[in-house]
Amino acid sequence: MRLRIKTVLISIIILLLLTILPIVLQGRLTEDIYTYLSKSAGIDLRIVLNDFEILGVVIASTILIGSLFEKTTAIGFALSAVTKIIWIIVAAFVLSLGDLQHIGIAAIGSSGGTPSITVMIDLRLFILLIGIILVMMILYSYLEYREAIVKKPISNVDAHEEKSVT
Amino acid sequence: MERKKALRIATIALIIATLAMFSISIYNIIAFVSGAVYPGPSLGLKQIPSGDYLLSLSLNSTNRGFLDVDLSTKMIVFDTNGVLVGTNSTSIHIPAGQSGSAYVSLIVPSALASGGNPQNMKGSMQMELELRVLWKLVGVKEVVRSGSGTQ
Repeated sequence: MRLRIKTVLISIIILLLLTILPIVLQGRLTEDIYTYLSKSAGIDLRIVLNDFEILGVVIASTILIGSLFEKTTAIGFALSAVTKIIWIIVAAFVLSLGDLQHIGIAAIGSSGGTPSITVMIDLRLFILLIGIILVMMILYSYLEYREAIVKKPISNVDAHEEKSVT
Repeated sequence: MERKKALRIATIALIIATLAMFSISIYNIIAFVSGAVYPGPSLGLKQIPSGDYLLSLSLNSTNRGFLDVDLSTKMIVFDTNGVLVGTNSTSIHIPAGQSGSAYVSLIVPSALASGGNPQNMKGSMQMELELRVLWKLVGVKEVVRSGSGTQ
């Protein structure tokens, strides 16, 4: 088990961007801004920021824990797969503007006023593509993991054969 | 080993393709919207011989992007009690670099169309404008609701 500096730095950056920054923002933003965004764009910024904070902690800790194990071990592979699944959730969250009920559809709209205008951007295709990419990455990690498992007994057999020859 | 290499190449290719598709789609939508702004959608209300009114929505646009665009418009009218009066829709295909016009109309009872001005109409109205690119897989939809008793 060893902690790589690069991984620690990545975790810190993720934590800073997704968790610390939203916490600081929440402390600085005034009530007027929340009300304005809610009325003009239909976005509850408080919920979005809270969700980002949680995601930041989850992603940073998964990357950090994942770095403790080699990718070729069962735990390492499992953690790598979990991290990729979390990234799918993050992509869906960002492309849906925080509304996971309508995955892939970013809706921005005013409420209450007349006329009310709602703009919906359909980005479901990209969530699907990101999902496929991450599944392919998981598959790649699995192949690496399986290769490592298969290699171990072979190398043992080779060593045994070499001994018997000599 | 070969399978792993192939998977890695396929993943990288898909990442590049996704980024390219995302950029092209967004660019095309922005390019189309900027071409649609002038003169923009126009709403009209004309009296027809039966005494009722014809509510129409027309849009002329130039597709300045490099992907074909499918544009659809829909109009829904409700009376003052929120009951559906009528709905109509149309859709057109505008190839890249070309212009196209969409027109949709609806007959509105004279009781709702006061003064022949669409802004003063009684009841409520919903206009939908949707444009799709990349074989209709990516798109933007704008829904405008106006009037009393908005649905």
